[in-house]
Amino acid sequence: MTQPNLIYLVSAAVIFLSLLCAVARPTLFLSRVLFIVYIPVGLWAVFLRYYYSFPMTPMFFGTAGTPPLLALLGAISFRRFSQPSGLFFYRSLLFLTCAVSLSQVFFPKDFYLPFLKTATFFSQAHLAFALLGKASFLLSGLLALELTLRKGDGNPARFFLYLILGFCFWTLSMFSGEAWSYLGWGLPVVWDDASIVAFLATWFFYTALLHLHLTGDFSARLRANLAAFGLIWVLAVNCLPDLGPWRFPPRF
Amino acid sequence: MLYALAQKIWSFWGSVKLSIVLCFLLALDAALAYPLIRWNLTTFIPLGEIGIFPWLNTYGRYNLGHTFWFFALLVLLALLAVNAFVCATDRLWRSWKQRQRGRGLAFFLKLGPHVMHYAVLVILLGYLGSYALSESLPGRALTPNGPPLRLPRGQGEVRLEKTAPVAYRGERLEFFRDWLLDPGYELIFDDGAGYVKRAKLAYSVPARFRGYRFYLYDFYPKREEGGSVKLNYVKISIRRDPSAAVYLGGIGLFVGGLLLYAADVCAKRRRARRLLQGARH
Repeated sequence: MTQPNLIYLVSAAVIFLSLLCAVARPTLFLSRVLFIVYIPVGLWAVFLRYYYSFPMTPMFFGTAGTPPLLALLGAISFRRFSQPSGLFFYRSLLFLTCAVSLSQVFFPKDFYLPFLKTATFFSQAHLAFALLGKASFLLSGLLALELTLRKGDGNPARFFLYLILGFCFWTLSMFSGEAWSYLGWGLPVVWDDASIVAFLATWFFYTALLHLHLTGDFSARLRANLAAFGLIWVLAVNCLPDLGPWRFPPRF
Repeated sequence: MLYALAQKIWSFWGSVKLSIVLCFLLALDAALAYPLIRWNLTTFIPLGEIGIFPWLNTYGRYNLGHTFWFFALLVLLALLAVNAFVCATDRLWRSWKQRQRGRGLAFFLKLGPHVMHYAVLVILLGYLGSYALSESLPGRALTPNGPPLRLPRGQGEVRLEKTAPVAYRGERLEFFRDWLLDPGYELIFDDGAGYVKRAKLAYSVPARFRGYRFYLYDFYPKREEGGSVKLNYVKISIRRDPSAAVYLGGIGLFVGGLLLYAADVCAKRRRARRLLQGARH
């Protein structure tokens, strides 16, 4: 097992332990410590994966690289760990981070030979922005889910901020991808890879959500419900295709 | 009567609710397309090579079972383009009428969303032009110091020359050692009238000559020592696409609009903070 994959495995184990500790209140403190430890370890695994593939871009890394960024954005976004709603958010954040990490450990897909056409700035930018975009969308979905399960209308400002951020990153990723496609194949869209339409589907979904928010004609609950649905959307449309075959023990 | 009808039509096409419905439908359509493309890749790959209208007339028409989403996508995109144009023009006109004297910068910053809407139109137009009007010659093989390839429209010919290849020497990807990162080829263009141009041929760095772009598609040998079969060739694809500048310009316009929008949001937040501080004092 190569070094980045070993560190990725360690990071997945740390977040899994953190999730286990978060189930019971007495071990909540330990869970938080493990969660804080997970963030640099996970980010280090992502960096190493990039470093080991350089000058090529790591293939099928769009989902495997998301959990540490999601945890980092989550840690920045919430300040209310000890309150009940904060705890719900914390547990759901842990669950999602852990589920995505473990799915990439047991169903890895990023084991292909380096693809020479990815040795360009635009390809690197495409992946980096996609990772940030996906993490922002997932976080926006989690914050919206918290709002949906709470009584009353609530304030959609928090999940909306991540929705906008996600949309900006996703758009920049899409445009970097198009520039890469133009330089590599001379086409704005390359039809060799179906994930291009999955990318487009999510862009249209969040464009609709953004318009829904900006008009102000719709209730906060409806907007929160749809943003929470975005969580399922991103997992189904953009994360599921990145799953490879089942591997046990995990080898990458 | 006619004016009222025109106004009704205009407001219908300028409705944000229509944009939302169209975007959700487009999202559903694109999501549905994922498995259909993945399981029928061979149907979709020629789309970039033969152009959109010949493709629709052949592959598209005779494989409706897995290409219907593409027809739906085109219709929905056309509707969205009309909607985006009317919506942006309507709101831009209203903002222009409501603008205040001496607040030129504030008005300029508010243009961000309109710029993005128009940029989407430019990008869509560029895509359509690229798939409908571009000239494509895929899969042309050349060998180093071999016979030249005649360029279309009598623009001359092109030959291939071998220079120094670059192989992967790093320690990080052990299995990739000695694989070629850059095959080290140069294209030599000759227009037949005494003008000769040399250009490097590498992945994602297309060579340019007389409006044509030459893309490295594949090459052999892949490793420095060459492998068991003594083959030495390069496959290139040649394209002439005047619409590329349109969609690349549209992308630049969209990013510009996004920056304007971000600047507007920052300015608004700063103003709100200043107002709050004033109220506190």
